[in-house]
Amino acid sequence: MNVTILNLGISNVSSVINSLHLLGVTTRLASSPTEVLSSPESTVFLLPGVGSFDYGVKALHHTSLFQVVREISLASQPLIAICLGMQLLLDSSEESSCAASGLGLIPGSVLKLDPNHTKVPHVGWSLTSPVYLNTPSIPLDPSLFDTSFYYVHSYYCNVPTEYVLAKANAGASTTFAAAIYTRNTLGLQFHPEKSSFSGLSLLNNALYSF
Amino acid sequence: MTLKRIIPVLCIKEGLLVRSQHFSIHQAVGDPIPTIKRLSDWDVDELILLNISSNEQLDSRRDDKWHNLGSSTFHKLLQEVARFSHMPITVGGNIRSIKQVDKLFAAGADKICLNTTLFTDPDFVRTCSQKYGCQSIVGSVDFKLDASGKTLHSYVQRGTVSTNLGFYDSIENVLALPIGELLISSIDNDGCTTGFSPQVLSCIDSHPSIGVPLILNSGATQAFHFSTALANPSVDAVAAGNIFYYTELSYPNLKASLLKSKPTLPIRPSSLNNPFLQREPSYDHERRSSLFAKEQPHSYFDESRYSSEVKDIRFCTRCLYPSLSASPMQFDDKGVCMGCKVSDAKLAISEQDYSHRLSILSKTISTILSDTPNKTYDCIVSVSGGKDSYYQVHYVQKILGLKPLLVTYNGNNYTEVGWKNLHNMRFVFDCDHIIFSPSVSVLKKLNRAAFVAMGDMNWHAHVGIYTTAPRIAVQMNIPIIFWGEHGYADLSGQFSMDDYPEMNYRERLEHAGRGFEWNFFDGIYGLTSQDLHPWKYPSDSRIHDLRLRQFYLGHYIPWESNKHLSLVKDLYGFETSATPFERTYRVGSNLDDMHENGIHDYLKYIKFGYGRCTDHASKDIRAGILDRDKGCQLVNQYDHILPSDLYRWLDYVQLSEDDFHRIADFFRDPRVWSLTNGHWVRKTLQDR
Repeated sequence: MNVTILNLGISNVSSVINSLHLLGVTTRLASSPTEVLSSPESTVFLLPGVGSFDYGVKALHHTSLFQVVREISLASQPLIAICLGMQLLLDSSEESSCAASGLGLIPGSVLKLDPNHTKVPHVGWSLTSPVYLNTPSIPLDPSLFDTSFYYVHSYYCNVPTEYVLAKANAGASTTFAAAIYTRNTLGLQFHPEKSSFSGLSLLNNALYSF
Repeated sequence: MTLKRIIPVLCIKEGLLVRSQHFSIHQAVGDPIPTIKRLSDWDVDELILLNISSNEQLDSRRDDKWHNLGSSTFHKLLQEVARFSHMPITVGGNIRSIKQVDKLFAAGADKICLNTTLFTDPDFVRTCSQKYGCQSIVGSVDFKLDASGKTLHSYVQRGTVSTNLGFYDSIENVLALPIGELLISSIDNDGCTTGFSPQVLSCIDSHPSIGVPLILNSGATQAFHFSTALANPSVDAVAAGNIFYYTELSYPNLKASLLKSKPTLPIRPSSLNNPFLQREPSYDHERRSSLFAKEQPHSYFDESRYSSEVKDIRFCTRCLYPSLSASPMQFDDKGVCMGCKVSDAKLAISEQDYSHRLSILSKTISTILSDTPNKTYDCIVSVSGGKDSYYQVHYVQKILGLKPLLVTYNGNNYTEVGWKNLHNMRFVFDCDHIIFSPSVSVLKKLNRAAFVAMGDMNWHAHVGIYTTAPRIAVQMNIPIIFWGEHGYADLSGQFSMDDYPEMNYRERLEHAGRGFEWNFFDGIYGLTSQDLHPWKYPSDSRIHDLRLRQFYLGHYIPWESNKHLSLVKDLYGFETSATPFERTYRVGSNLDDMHENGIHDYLKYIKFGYGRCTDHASKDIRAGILDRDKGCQLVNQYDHILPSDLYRWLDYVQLSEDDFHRIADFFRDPRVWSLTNGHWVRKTLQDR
């Protein structure tokens, strides 16, 4: 198994690499379209990301990976997007100061968590639950989401329910999408690489299911 | 629902993991890596690593250990840690520049923890936030009560400088900065074992809502300390350090006990069956082979390591202990070693205190025994047949009234009188006794391999002893093992007398095994996994299921070796050696292993420049039965002696004396030894 990490140069990719190595997966970094195109045929692409939405969009353009990532997903090649990576899959974000466009692969926008309802940023392990109704066509056991994962975020993805694989809460009343899916593209709001056993199991299953 | 976190906080000082008290007393627990690895095995929610070193450079060089962080830096340690830690890691300690921050994030930090700069350099905090996001910044505020004992003030620079701000103003100042979480510590309660600071808790309660997650730190040791704090709606996470170091499965056991008393408590249960993590270290093939390169007949130590004249070793101003020792050592600001400090604390324990300690032990034992169905024996006493073994069995059987099974690891090195004493136990105590004796050909290979790899032929014995009793306990469903005295506490003062450490896997691997686990030897000289069975420790889940506890009796009852010796001689006919030891003036110890006081101990002298006589004389100085000058005299008389059991050992493993000395020289620590005109010279007590 091989994973190609789409390196936007904006976040530390070492935790993701350490986790993948633990799972016995080989990794390569791709920071340009050429490097992406030279990936092994069976590779799984991984888009990590920490930072602001604008920063992420800028980096996608700067590395010329914007179009490449779109093509990967539209061609149903396996893609796992984590945290900011997941948010970049959407059309837009409230965080953006210049109304920047996201990748537009899943319809929806990124909204800010309401500080009146929860402590912001939302940091910690949150119980997560699968949304069974939406998962018949997913090659991933939904019960893998029925546990807690580690989250660090101030914004969340607001997408039509048919794209939601799992949900979680911040505070008492704010429910948000924990995992979203379309055409072999999986977006995860939590950090599987920082979620110990539950995260590693999920990552392992996702890699071998696609 | 967002669950509440329980976060271990680890203090790293000059490369060692230390137990901290009031931010000012630091006792070396050991190398950080084995402890952090255990916390990772235990599925902790998160980790906070604080670098409290005074230097950027960390120094825990040890040529005889596998986990040899060596001369390194904090961010290299972090890099190492990030390799096996799949939980969030927050790091802090003297972070002043964005360059440092970049390095820490690149090394694997998920968040940084800022304290002093929150008050002295708010622009720096903003710069960090702009670059890494406020969710990556934990604001850490340390509070201390003023002289009245009523008002809290915040402190910076590791608790040394007051900001002159009270609780409310300090918190408001910090919350005005772009931080993602708030960590509140109490200098008064740090390491005090009595629970979180009530003053801090009451200030938190009266403070209007804190908009970011709050982590409460300092002083918790008991389950109820944690459950009370976790029940507070303002508290999102609790943190503690010391308690996670000293007992087996401390972290999962704490969570299990919290969930047992309150199943609805919003915390994450620990999973001990992570198939992706292996408890045993994995050994890099190349590095392993390089350790055996010393065996090639013409390989010699690197002379250039010994050119420096300046030796940075120092000695305790009270006993004779050196700063570079087999057990990690720290000193107080007057130059007194932590071994002396713990010894004083131990001697100060009153009779009343001891009866309280004993009642804790008795109560714990009766709870364990009533919770264990189908038990075969009440407990195991791990015995070598020495004076302390006799005393332990005497105490467990005659005073505690338990039915023990005696268990012995026989490393094939018994002295004649030691072997006689061992067999005599079955008769004088009328107990069942299992003596486990590994194959002699395997032992010979292990003796030689461990000498070459780590400069200690007795790895098999140290690890064998600490493996045999737990293995039999798990096999026979025996929930308690008794050990005697905690050797490391005794020599180098690793903890306070209120910590009650118990034997555990980390201690066995790190201190008894120096980071070398059975699988290190797999394949060496044709040894197979099956050959190495006697050194395989039971799995975490088996230990957890049995709820095995391994008590050191020395924490609960007065431990005076000299008194024990006369008691067991009188009551049970214990015999001491007729011939004196060559390397120490004491007569009653280590009869179970002819090399332990002999050639094994000589290698300690080769590595660190001191031997068992220093241990014995230091203990006697601390106990007030020897003065320091006489102690120095004894040390100079005994520490350098080449003992005659060397020749038995050379014959046993088929090695020449020249090869022995040639290989041993590789282990001389350059901080202790210099090579002057072809002679080894070391800094001695006289030069201090």
